[in-house]
Amino acid sequence: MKISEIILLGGLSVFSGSLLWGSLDMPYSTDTTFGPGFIPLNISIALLALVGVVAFRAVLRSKRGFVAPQDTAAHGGDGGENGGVETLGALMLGGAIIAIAISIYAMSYIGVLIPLGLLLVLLSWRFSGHGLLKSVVISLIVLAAIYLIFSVWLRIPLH
Amino acid sequence: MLDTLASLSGGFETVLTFHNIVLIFLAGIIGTVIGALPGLGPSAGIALMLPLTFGMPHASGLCLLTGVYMGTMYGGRITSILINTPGDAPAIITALEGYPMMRKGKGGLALGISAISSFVGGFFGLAVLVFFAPVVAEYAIFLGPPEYFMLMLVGLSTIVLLAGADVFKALIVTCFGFLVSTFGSDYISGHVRFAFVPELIEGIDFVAIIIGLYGLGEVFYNLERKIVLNLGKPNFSFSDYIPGKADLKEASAPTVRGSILGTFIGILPGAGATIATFLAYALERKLSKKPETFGKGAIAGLASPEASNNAAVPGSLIPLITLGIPGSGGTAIMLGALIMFGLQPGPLLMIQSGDVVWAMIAGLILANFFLLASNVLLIPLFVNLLRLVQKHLPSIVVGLCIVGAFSLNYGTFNIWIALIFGVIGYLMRKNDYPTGPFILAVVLAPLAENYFRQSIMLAQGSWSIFVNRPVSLTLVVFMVLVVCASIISKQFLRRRRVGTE
Repeated sequence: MKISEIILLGGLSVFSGSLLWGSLDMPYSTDTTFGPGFIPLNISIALLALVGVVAFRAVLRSKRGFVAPQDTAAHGGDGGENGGVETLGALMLGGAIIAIAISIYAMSYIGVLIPLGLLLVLLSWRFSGHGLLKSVVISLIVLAAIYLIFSVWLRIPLH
Repeated sequence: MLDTLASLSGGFETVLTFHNIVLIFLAGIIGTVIGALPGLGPSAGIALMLPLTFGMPHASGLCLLTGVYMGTMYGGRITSILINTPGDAPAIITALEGYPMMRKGKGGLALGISAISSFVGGFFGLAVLVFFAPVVAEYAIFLGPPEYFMLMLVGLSTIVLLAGADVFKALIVTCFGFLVSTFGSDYISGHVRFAFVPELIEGIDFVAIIIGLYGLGEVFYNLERKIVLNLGKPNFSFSDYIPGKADLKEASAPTVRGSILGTFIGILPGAGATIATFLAYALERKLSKKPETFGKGAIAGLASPEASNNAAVPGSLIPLITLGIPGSGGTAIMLGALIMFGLQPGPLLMIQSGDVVWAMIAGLILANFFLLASNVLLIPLFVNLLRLVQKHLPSIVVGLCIVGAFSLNYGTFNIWIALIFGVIGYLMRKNDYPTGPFILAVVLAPLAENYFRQSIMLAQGSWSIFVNRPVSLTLVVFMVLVVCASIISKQFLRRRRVGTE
């Protein structure tokens, strides 16, 4: 099992576990029908069980030395050079997600346009590999188009 | 029949003025642009245009609103096909087949086929609206919660078809979709579930989910793998964008099936275009001789859902016009507009204000023709625009996704939701977890849950209500057949593959 799949299944387990815990406080049924706790309780138990089955299956496969198709070279999971490229890609992706998160946080305080503009420049310059000047020019054009459509035409308050 | 045609020609007489023709044309273009923008769908489009109708003659105002409504259905497919970011919920399925076509360099063809299918679907729905509206609406009103619940289950049973190679993975994402849909107010008991922050009282916005899952998820995936589009240089040869005879032939039967399905699903209040597209896609996959091509750019998988979502627009107007029941968010705002114009939606609408209603229907027919022409003519513009900016696409898509999510409630909460689902979408794609069953569960689970609990309440706690009513029983049998047929055909294909090897 790849690390990314472990993160996905781990996240889903924590999510369903917390909903399971929360649904215990809700009525499971009423006099005439099922209550609001019926679906969350049953489905979170089912999700935890399914995650368990997939994890167990992965453990069995690794013991038998079976390699799933998605873990093969085609997906960059064969270590070596591809593994290095994948690690670099994952680091870049992590950086991009953090940059987006910071700009969303900033948007709560200073409006959408300035953080979005800076984010677009950063994504174009550091992550897509364009020159700084080109990134600034393109980002300004995109920002202007977004401003004209959303703010001027549709009157959505972006700033 | 003759009375209907006479009324329709009266509607055309009202609509065919220079002012109205320009208005309808502009409404279609505005709707197309709004539909293409992530985060803005038919409801937003109609709501945004509503203030412009103040002071307009009733017929012109309604033509503007329905033109925008129809236009959003055409527009939703553009960003789905070009950048894998559905503009609205009914365009999700379009992305499943249209985007792979675009990656193969057939983006123009995908836009062409989808525009033609949308036109046929819209035209079929309009024909039903014109000739059979009162009859169909009369029957649709007799469907109760048990029938709707079974209909939702039929929709959910198509998860088997969207599952891909690993059923466990599909079941995991389905359960996840169910859980995501439980956030917010429970409509039966009034209990608020899992509202960890006040913004969650109304639940997680579905559009924020699809913006994240498809738009940001795709960007993250391409960013990690350093995938850059290579669509070549801008090219204005029309032959690249107009579908050939073979493509049209391949798309024709699915388009007809999608049109019929979309119209009838659209008529059912609460079902709507999104469910119609999923059912149409599942049906095509089931009927296809090459189901393995689905998800890789199958023309049938693109044409049928596109026809169904446009057919659902006139379909959803049938209960609105004849009974005063809005079947979707868009028609709910249309209901508000009818009341604002001083009209009384319901069975008497056609009698008391028939001239306005027929003018609106005539306007829709005209809008459908304009939209076909404008969308086909605009394909080179869209495709070449994409070619022009393809190297800068990640930042453009991120920009559109962020602003689209922001525009849902003018706050940053939905941008956080989109970011979270962007990461989830990336992880799902990277590990071959199908997104189709997840989205289907998010859309259908809350409806299914409500109808299920209402049915049990109606039957005083008994489950027999689902088999005691003929329509409900028919749907139970149909659903069992769909699931059994899917399992058997999968087994059959597996054995045949093993035999061949």
